[in-house]
Amino acid sequence: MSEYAIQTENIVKYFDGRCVLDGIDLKVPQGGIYGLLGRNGAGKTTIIRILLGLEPATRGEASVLGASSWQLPASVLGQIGYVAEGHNLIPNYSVRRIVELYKGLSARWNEQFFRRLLETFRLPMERKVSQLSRGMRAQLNLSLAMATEPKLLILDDPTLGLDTVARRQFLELAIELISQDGRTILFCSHILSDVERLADRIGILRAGKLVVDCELEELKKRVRKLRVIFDGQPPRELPITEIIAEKRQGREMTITVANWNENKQAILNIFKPASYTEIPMALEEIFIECTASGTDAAVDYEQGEPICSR
Amino acid sequence: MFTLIIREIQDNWVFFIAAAILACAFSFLIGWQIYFINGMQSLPITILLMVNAVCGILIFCGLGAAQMYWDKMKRISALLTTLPVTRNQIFTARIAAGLLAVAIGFLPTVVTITAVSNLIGPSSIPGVGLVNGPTSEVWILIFLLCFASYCVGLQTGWTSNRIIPTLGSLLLSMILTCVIWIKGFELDAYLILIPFIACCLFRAWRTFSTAAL
Repeated sequence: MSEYAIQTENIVKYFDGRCVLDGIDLKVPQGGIYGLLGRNGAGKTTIIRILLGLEPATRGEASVLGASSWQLPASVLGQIGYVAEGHNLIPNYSVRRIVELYKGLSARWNEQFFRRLLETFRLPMERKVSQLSRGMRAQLNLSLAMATEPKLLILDDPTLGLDTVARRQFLELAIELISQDGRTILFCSHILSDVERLADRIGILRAGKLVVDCELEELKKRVRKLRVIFDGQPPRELPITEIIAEKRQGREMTITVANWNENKQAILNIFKPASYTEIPMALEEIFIECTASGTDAAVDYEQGEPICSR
Repeated sequence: MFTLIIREIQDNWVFFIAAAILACAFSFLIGWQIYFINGMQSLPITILLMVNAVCGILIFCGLGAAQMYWDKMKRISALLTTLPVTRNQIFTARIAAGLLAVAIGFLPTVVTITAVSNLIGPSSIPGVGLVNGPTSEVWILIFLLCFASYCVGLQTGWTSNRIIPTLGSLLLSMILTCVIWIKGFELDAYLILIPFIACCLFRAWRTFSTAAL
């Protein structure tokens, strides 16, 4: 079997003539936890839908657990757990009926684990799915996906709609699941602190392109934010490549640079800055810098030049 | 597969009940007509058959359209295909449920007429002469006609527009029924029905297996 649980090659997707995904090469290693980030409409859900064979790609190849995504055999589908954005469960079914359906169709079913989840979340078995709150639907969906003991778990914004306690419970469950050997998780979320806590590898989508695809630690190491103070006005243009964002205020200039190295530092030194300090960046800040539009330098990345990739 | 078929039946129980009620009512009516009013029929068998066919078409067409329409609207297959279930399995289960519904709405009538004709003799059944061809062929054709209606429903149901599945499928089924009725229940009718069913099923399968769920 391939070393990658998920592999896509040059995936392109058009919706009504509009390019939603533009040449995505995504590789999720077996046993890894991959956090896929992007703003609304960046194409995260579309990638997931293509991976699961719910949506055909306009061009390109995608494979999951070694099988072509568009024609996933039942044996491979049985190894995938999926929590959809918006928790797509059949609305007129009762919780009990949905559970029976999952039990009847799943290749594996861990009843003991599922009971534990039900007790944790206190889900009403006789209530219809349409009568459940958004949070309860999320809990039910998570419980169902996790009880099938998937080899690959795909979570599309799973904590959306959960309160703080339920979110914490979910994260603890996810960590428990992750601790079991060989599990791979593809995780999309807007709550970046969750992704930072769970993921060991990060992908950031911007306007249909994967601009970041590397390990979280490497991303933090490679993307630097510097506050540079000059004696006079800062130079109109800094000839440093891979500037993701820049901001000027008086004598001060704040730049976010990808792949910071000695050469870039030498170029900066030519302009004789009075001082420069590095501002530590959390994932959330890196994400905002990588995806925010409107910054002049970020325009370079509109062309799809990766900020950080394998 | 069994779970999928059961799910189809449970989700569309209204149509199965309607088919069973139609079959029972028609069997009773036809049995009563043949056996008790033998020779002095108030309604010819042909008219009863026509009424039954129209009701059957409504039910089976509705079943096919409802299966596909609600699947699309409630994104049922989108959920099922994330479990160890392929689109082909969902479609096969759907067809199996459709065939079962047709059988429920059809077999009791066949059994009743066969039983009654065995009791009183086929020649005594009033109105049968109006239906051309041997009785077994007529039954097979009626079965195919009902199934064709179901396939038309499947074909037109995969849309988010309510008007198309409701009126489109009914119109197509009625045209088909009229053609068969005018043409007569003979060998030629197979030549119309079997390719029609095959085309409808292929088109419905193609639409379902390539659509975004």
